[in-house]
Amino acid sequence: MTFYIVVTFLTTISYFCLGFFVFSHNRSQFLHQIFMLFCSAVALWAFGYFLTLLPIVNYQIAIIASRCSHAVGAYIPVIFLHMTLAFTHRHDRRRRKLLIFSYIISTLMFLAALTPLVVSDLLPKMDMRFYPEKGVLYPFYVALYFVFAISFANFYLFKAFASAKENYRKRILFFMFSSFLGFVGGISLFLLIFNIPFPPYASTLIVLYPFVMSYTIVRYREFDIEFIIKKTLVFAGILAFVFGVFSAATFLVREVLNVYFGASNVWTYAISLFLIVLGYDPIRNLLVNLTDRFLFQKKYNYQQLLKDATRGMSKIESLRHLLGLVVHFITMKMRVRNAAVMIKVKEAGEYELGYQRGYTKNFLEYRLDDANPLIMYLIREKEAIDLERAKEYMEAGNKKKVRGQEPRHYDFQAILLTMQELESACCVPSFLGPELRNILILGEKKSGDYYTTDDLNILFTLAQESAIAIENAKLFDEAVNKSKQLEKINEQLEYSKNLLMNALHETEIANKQLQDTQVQLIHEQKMATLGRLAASVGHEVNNPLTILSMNVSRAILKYRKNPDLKVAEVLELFQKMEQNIGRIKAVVNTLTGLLKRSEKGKFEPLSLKLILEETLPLVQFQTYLDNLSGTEVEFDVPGGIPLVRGDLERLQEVFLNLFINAYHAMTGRRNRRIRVTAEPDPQNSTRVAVHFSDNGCGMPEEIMKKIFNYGFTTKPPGRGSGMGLYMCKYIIELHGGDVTVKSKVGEGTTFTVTLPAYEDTAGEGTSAYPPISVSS
Amino acid sequence: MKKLLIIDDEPGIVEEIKSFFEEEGYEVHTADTAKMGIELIEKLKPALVLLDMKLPDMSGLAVLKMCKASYPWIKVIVNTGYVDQHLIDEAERLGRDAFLTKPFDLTRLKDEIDQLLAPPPPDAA
Repeated sequence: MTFYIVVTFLTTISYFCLGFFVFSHNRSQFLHQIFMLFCSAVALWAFGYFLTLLPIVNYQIAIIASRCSHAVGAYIPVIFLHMTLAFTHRHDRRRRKLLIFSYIISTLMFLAALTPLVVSDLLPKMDMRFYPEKGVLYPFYVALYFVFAISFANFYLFKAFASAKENYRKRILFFMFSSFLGFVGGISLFLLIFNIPFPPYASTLIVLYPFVMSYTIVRYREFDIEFIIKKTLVFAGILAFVFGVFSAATFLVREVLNVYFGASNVWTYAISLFLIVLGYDPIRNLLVNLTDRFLFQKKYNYQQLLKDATRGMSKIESLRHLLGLVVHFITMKMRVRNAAVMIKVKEAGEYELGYQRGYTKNFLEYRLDDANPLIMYLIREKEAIDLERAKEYMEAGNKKKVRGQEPRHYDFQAILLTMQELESACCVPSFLGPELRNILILGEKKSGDYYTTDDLNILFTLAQESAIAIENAKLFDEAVNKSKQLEKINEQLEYSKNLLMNALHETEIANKQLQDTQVQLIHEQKMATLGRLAASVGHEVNNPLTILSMNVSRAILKYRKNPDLKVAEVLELFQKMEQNIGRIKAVVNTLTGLLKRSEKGKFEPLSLKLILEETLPLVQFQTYLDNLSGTEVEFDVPGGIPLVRGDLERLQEVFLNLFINAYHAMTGRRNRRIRVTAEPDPQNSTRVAVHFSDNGCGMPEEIMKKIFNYGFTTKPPGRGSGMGLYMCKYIIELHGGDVTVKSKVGEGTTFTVTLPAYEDTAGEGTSAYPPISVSS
Repeated sequence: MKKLLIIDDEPGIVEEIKSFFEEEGYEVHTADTAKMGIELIEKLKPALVLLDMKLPDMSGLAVLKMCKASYPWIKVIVNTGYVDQHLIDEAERLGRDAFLTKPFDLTRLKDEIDQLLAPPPPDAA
């Protein structure tokens, strides 16, 4: 009899505690709630039995307790059915009707159980003082169990079992097994009620039910947490202690003190209280340690784990080392087969599998982007996910339910696939602020165990710690890289600087050479001009001189033949002489007039009209050589045109060249005409433009492009030095001006020289020379 | 009568030389362009050509070259108003018989012509 008291007492305590702790751990989950309800019902039911069997209870109380027990027990099968439906995810509308119906039946049975209809009486049975005797409705009461708890519930369980896979299948099996234990135990109680002399030893199995269920919980996380069981056991132990102390005290007072000192019951309470207060803490500690040691051998001390990890991480600056540490830490301490860290690649918005350890491949290349369901899940849920949970959610219709919120849908199949590809059993997000920065990838545990909620929690905390450390290490690495890059850039800059210095030096040399060449060129050009001048002067002077000389010779010869020669006879000769002397004089005058004003290297205010007018005679000398005299020259240079600033000699050279070019362009043509005009530049009022137009042969585009090139000439070899236009352009550019050309084959060519007007260039310093006014 | 050909474009000079040598008993012909000069050389085959280097249509060198190539026996006196070393060298290479620079006088010219047209001296032996 004492055995049953203990059994029912333990049943009451263990169910109640288990239910309470499961519920308090996660109040929001429906399964937890219904489990709590179920446990409470069983606990109350067991408590009724306990009271009935308790020796100190009288008949009146015992029969009430028994009837109440049965009344509460009427709800057990329907609650169990309800729990089964929730467990198998068949808790839908269609089954709701069945449930409502079941609850109504149960309620009717509950009311009936309060009357003698179910428990008619209490009779001593076997070695028990009181045991319920069946009433009229008792078979129906038992039928409730058979119909709902056994038939319906198992029907759904089997159905779920048939379609379930792997792990879930196992869980259903465990669920069924624990239920089986419980109900076999429960049914054994009925037998004696029907006066079948079968002692309810099997009711011990009812006590086993929560423990098997607990194992299911621990093993498969059916409800969370081993610590619920731990607390249940500790609590049960303490209750047992209190109960034991109280019993011992009662015994002591009654059997010893009362006999010798006649002490009252007050002493019982006093002694009990004293012992309980004294023993509570040591007993509690002992129980906690015992459960820890024997039931839940600590695989790792979480606090220590976190502390170690954080301390290690804070010391390491390099990202690679840090990732190595994190991964090493996880593989060693959590005893997982493989682990890795995925890091967000900022630029790409992708997550890349970084440091890895224990993978089958040497290095698994893997990238995920924001659109991947796994990443979406981690970002939105901000919690770790393992294979078991993912499978559970997938089986629940690809949605994650949180009480009080709309179920959220994810593609768990894709998540599972991704995790399989990552060889991952658990993925832990690591946030920095709101942003998902890293993902810890954990493989299967070497023990084959599943990840518990506590595992996930500690990993989540660890991941957040690591995010900061990883960020620091990243920044450190970036800083190191940047400084390296800077060094490199510096080196390159230094190198470039040297190159530049060399180039500058070479340019200086080249420039010097160019200047020398230009000086040489100017000199050559001058010599060429002089040479042409000399040739022209040679002819222009020597021809009349020859005639003069011949005339003189003839006069002398005539005189020798006839000493009485009269002047009248040689007058013709003298006249010829005078004529030719005049010719020579004119040449000399022109030359001296031209050369008088050429003051070398000075930029001075000059009148275009004057330069051009004075250049023309020089041109005529030159053209005489080429038999081009007789060319019409039209001269239209208004007197009011602004002065230009320049070197007279040089500008004359240029104009002379242009004139001669124009003449030469017209070789072999009739009606040769040169037109020279000057005007303020229509495009730029600070400039003056001079146009040299001829109606000569003109030139095609490809020649026009080249005429300003050094050494380019269209004249036959020996005739042109090819320096003319090149030098013209050079000289005009020295003056801050420009030379352009327009031409049409067969129609003629126009050269345009633009020069800065004097007034506007005075302050610009185009020349090193101050303006000098020269009388012309 | 010995034929002289004067090729020069300066009419004053041509006129003086022509009248002088006609008085001296030469048959004098004149041309004022290179083209005309060449025509006359071929037509007249003169004993001597007085050739100006500076001609309106082409250089006197061309006339010299043609003349010496076709009729090497024709004596050619080259003259020019401007001493250009290149020209002097070129004329010598082409076989001019004498070179005069302007201004030259008639006496000098007569000496040159007389010397060139004198019959070869009889052998001393």
